[in-house]
Amino acid sequence: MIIQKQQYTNLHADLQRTVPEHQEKFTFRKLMRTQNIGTILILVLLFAACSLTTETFFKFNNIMNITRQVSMVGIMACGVTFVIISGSLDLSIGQIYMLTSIVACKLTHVNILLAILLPIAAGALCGLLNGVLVGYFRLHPLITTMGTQSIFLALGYALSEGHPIRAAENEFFRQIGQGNILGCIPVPSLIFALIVAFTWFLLKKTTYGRKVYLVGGNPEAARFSGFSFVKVTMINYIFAGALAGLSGIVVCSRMMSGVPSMGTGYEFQVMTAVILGGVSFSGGKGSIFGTLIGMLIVGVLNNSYIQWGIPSSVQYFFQGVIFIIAVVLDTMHERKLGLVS
Amino acid sequence: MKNNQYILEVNGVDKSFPGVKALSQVSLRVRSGEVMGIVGENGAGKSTLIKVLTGIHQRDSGSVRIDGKEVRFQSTQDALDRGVVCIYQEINIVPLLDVGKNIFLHNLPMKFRRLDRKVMYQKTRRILEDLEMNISERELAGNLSIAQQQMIEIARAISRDARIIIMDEPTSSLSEKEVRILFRVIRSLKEKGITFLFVSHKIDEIKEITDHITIFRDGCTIAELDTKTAQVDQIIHHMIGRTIENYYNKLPSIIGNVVLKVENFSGKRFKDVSFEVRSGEVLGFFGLVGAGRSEIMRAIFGVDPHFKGNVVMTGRQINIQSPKDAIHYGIGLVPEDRKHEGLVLNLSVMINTTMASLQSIQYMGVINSKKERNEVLQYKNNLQIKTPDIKQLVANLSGGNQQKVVVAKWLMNAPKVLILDEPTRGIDVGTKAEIYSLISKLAKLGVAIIIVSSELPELMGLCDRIMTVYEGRITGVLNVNETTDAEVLSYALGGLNVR
Repeated sequence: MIIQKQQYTNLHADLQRTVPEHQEKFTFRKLMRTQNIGTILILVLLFAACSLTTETFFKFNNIMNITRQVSMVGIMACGVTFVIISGSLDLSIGQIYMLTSIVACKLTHVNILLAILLPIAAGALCGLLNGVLVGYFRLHPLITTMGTQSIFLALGYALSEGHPIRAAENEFFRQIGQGNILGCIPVPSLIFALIVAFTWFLLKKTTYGRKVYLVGGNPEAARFSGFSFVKVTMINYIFAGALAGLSGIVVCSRMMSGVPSMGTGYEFQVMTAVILGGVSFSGGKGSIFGTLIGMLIVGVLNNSYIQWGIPSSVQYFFQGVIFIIAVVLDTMHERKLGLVS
Repeated sequence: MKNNQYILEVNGVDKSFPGVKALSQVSLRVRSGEVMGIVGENGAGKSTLIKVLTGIHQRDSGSVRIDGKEVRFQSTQDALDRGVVCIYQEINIVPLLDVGKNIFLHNLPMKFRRLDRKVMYQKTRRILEDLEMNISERELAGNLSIAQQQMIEIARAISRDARIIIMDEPTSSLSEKEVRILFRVIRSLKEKGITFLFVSHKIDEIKEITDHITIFRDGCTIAELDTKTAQVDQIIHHMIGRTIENYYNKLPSIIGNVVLKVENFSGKRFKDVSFEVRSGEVLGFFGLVGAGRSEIMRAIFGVDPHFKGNVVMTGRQINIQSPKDAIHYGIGLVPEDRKHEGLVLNLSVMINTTMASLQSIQYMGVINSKKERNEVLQYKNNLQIKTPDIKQLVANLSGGNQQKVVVAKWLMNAPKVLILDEPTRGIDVGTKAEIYSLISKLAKLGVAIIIVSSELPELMGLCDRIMTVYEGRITGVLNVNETTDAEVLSYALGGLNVR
């Protein structure tokens, strides 16, 4: 007997009373409950404070400069957003970034096309290692990626023999990190914008993005609905690794060199941006838009340190404080939902 | 021995939780040195009573007396001070500590602020000898068998001068031989004047070990029987003797061809399970909690592995390795634990409803948002899911509405076989009736339905046939029109003949 799908839908037609569709009314309270409203306010305030206290901040060139500065970390943060929403973590991302930038530098001496393609593949390979360990072998993501972080660092040192290496001079390659489109928009900012658009689409509009949320929100329920934690986790790590590879190419082109000590601390910036943006450590929650806001806060702050002439010691202190604030906000939200005690 | 004196007297105890009256006028009297059996269906109030007696919950009214003195425990420590200890079904030991330390875990003998090993192991030795246990006091507790670990808990209770030991389903994870050992220990401790409350589903064990039996039903104590004179059918009658409300809305079934056939299915907690279910048929699975009912369903659905056996779907043998395969063949499972297995609580009603049928609302991997929204709205209206907005988080819905979301999720997938595991647990009566009528309508459409439940009236009201499961095996297949509650229950209790 073949049962039409419509019959399932209309099963309770006899019971059916038309429930009036809820009218969405725009109110101030609703606005205040919008996701990310807190971080948007912080960004606006920070922006205003910087503009008012310094002469140099609110200049077109400086704003463009900020977007250029955040683009490398930003591209990585988009990938890591997927990893964290699906309930995992990636601390090795900074070292993948460093490793791939050295790969890119070395390859510029061989072939420019390879220097653009292979680092992405190398990043994906690093991600595959993370994915296999965390996804297939079910190792704890925090500890595991701490371990792989060291492995990637070692690879970077081995490739560069411990010294900064110079990239071969090539005008096209130089444009990736240093060029401008229409004379004023930095190429890295454009790449970042494209990645944001692409990952936003992937996360919000595709079945894959849906799986990322479901697996992160409740892996057990996702399994009961036919989704594979292993598959989603592996793909996420590979994707995050590939984006770190792209970031590596951009930074290599920007500095025209690769330094093995460069990656340290980047995972921290990425994590700060992602968590500030409302992606929850417990998984299943967050968005690319949030990550973008988080990223811009980090970018504006980094820029303001220079504008205000704040010494490094204080910068690190602030970084730490902001990270803790981000975690507090995340935890408070979770408690409000009653998901943690 | 003060044999005629009541050591424990419970009089007219009430206990309510928001929305439920768990205990109502419960009374119980236990003599010193006797074993009191406590029986009742799931949810009859046995566990709540234990929790009141051990200070985990406080009673609303009524009195509890120990040795004639009124007591009101605020914590398990209070209960312990008066010699009341409960040993739960789940073993509570520290696997990486040795036997001695486990026994004296809460009151380690000290000398000069340091652990006095000599005294501890001496005392341990003595207790182990009393219990006739042949294990070393320095063995790691994790290396012991389940039965031995349970003994450690009894030993711990004795080391703390327990006089009333409550045992909650103590034999559920023991082998027949281990049960013998446990009973021997209980009898010898009884000789020493220790009193037991023995909670169990297994009537034969109750008959064997207890002196008196108190029967619970719907939060009340229905009867107290003397074990020597009590008949098994008398006990069962008291356990189930409720009237069946007629809100099942059973529609006349139109039973068609076999849709799902399971042959010699074996897994970790069940063996040689065979059955078939036809289109339009409602098949019930009845058994006690832990009998292996849910495990069978989980294995059919591919959540757990199975060791051997075949699954045949509309005449074709299929191989299900994961829920993905099961969904592909048109099987749906409304799981027992909806919060952990059925829903993603911090995502919206919409996302939860479409999660098992993303295939039908996508094109080249891109979700058709409009189609998704429309379909979910249809189900929301049809199943009367009460939520202001389908973007609302499922966590904010009531239990009944959450369950409707899980049901909607599977309906959307148009299943040929729908398995529902405890579909009405923790759901209000109104929603229960809606879910019952939904099940009947689905069957009328020609869907083959399997319901797992611990509530016998529910199965008697909804099903065409009932299979009973006892300790991982099918013990009976009964046609609902030709059987009685007592018959089904007796098969579910291991095939005791009560007719």
